[in-house]
Amino acid sequence: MVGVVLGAALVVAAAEVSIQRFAPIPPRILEVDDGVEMLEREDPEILVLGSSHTRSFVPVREALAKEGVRMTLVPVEWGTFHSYEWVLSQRLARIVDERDASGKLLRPSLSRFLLITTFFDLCTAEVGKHGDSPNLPARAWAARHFFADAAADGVDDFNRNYLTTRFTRALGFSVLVQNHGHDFIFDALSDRFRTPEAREELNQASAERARVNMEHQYDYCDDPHEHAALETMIDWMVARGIEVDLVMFPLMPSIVSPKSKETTLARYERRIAELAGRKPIRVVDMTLDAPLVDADFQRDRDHLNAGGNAKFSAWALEHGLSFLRQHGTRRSDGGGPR
Amino acid sequence: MSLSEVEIVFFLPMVLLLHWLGPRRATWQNSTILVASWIFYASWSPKLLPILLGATIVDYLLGLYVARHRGTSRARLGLALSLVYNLGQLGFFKYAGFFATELNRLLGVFGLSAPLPVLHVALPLGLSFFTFQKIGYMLDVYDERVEPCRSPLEFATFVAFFPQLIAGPIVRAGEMLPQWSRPRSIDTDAVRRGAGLMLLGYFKKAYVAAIVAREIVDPVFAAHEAYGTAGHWLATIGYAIQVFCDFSGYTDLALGIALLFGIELPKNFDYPFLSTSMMEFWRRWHISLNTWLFDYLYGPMTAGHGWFRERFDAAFMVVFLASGLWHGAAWTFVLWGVLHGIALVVDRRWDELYRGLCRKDRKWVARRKTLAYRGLSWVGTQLFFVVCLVPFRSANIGNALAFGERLFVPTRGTLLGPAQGRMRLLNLAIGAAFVVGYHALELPAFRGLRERFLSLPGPLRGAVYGIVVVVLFLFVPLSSGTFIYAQF
Repeated sequence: MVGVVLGAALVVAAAEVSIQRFAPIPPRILEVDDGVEMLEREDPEILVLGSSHTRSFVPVREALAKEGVRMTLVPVEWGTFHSYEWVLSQRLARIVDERDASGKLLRPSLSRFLLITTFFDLCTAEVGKHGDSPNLPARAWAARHFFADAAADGVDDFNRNYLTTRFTRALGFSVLVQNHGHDFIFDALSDRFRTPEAREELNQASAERARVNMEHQYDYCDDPHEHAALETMIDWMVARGIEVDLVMFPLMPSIVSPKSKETTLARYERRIAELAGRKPIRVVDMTLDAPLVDADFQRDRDHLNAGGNAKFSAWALEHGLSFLRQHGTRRSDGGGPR
Repeated sequence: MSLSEVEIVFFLPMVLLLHWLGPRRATWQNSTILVASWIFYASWSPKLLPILLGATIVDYLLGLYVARHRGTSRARLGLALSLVYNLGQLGFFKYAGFFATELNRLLGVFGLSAPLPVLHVALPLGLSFFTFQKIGYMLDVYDERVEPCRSPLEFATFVAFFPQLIAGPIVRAGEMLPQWSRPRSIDTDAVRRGAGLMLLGYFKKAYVAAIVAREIVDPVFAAHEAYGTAGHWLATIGYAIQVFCDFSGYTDLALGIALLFGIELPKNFDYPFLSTSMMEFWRRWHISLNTWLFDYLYGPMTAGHGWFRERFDAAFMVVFLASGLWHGAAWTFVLWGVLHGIALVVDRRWDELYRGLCRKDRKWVARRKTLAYRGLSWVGTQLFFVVCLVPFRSANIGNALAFGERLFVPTRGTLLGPAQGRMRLLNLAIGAAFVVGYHALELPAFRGLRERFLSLPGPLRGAVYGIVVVVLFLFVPLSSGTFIYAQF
């Protein structure tokens, strides 16, 4: 039996090594759990919440850290406003409001809330159980959420997402496990056999799809539930005396067609402007202002690559987000109106 | 919770550790398994757990009562109470809605407008399986084939053992209660067999069944009008492969996990696609249900003192009607049962006729052994089984007839739906080769190959299993844990 197990293990290990030569395991990304842990540990001045684009703020965080400003990042992969609102109310609120026995805030420094957003945050999201996105169990739940849901409804396809993610993370060293459901191994394999011309053709087709997709998103990217979630977050922060800034994150220039500018993006800007008229928030619109080019983006045409992140960070701290540097001095009262 | 989904990776090791690291006493081992089984059942829906608990208590007490009053009318009363409780529960959850709907429809035909209330209640998972298991126990106790189980812990574990709780095999008290009454120790041979069965079961269920369903079966049955006759045949044969791999795969997982606890469950499938008659087919497919039906329904009917005595054809029809209804409360299942009942009647009559011919002329004996006879019998049997799956899979009789028409009236149209996964043809080829090879290795001509493989050095055999593991990781679709037989 030992021989059989060894033989099997050797084959699996050999497959792992050979596959990783052409399809390396994607680097581990910052997730909600990391952000929660950061918030608990750091008592930050700035809390950044938003979709996966929030990860582009890692260089901003590092730059600010050098100036003595603490910034916590909470990226909700594939989220929209209602996902961020869920994360705020279910994972972050307790930590932000946590007090000691004498009633003083345990983390009194938080004074600024940056919400990172794109037009996609107003799109009608896939809704699973209880109106929640099926992505939440996978990306945002803690164990208590899983057990509460399973105790009420049993283990089902919705809450199983929590377990699948835990399993995948536990075996983070295995390319076979990481590939499951993502299929990046076959993408990498196919790519090796493509000519440069074929690659370019594919690239153009993918860009066209992205352009058309953004144009079509006009039809379902003005969801009232998402609006409501956004307002709930703003109200929650304002009620605690925390300043709120909406940062409209840059889009890849080549996928924004003139039609999208006039429709999907124009309406999104209008909605945010209307909101800024009603709520005490600052809006930083970087959608098309940042000096980013296509080469600064990843192949998914959505996220910045490492170079793009650095470029974005340097530019943002000099321009739209320069006000973040004001947090260099800690407030002497250690608290605020919360 | 499903044996083939990710949660089992967390659940099973914990239960195994508790089971084996605790004292080597049956009480501890059974308690661990029982609590785990109840958690397993509650993980489908916590609201349904009381149904399992109630059913366990009722039959535990009635079993003791029947045994205490054996030979008296009280024993019959105890048995009757158990049957009323079990069949009543099954009837309420599974058939009440169906019969009320059909009765209302019938009353409507006669212009009567007093519709019965139609209940829409969720069917508790595994109800058909554990109800039949408990009825079998009560009948065995009544007929003195087994002694009643006096330990509530052992009885509850017998009813709720999680690997076989929701999809069988439907086990017998005589083969299981002795296993629950003694302490188990780790047996490396059982662990080896268990691990092998789990790998085989997962391969069948999560890979072959899931891919065949996704790529061939579901698209055609969802909108069959777009597909031609060849596409219909492909989907129907694909469905036969899917059901076999799904159900026997889950059973293999159940048998394998049971072995890790030192428990031996009976096999439920015995290479059914080798059958050359429907009688043989039903001895090889879902063995535990069919032996149950023959032992507790067909046997007493044909050997009893009632109208059915020696009326074998009528008894076959009753048995397969029951089998159809056991699978679900719908006319499609009734039709499926009737078709198989008729097939068994024809099979039995043909067998009688043929035996008569053999008695007159011994040449008929030799003819039956020829490749041509066996080949034709095989084709006829498998074809019949496959075609009968059309009503089994269809939402209603109308759909089944429309689908069936396309099978037999040549129509042009699409063969395959749009590919939903990577390397569809490779995966389908592996799946088909697996089903053919799996059965072929059981044939006398090829059995030697299996023996030769098993006699290879351990690391070489391990390497083959390693390749299977890599294929599974690469190709098993997400959410392949949905299990067809869980709905029955």
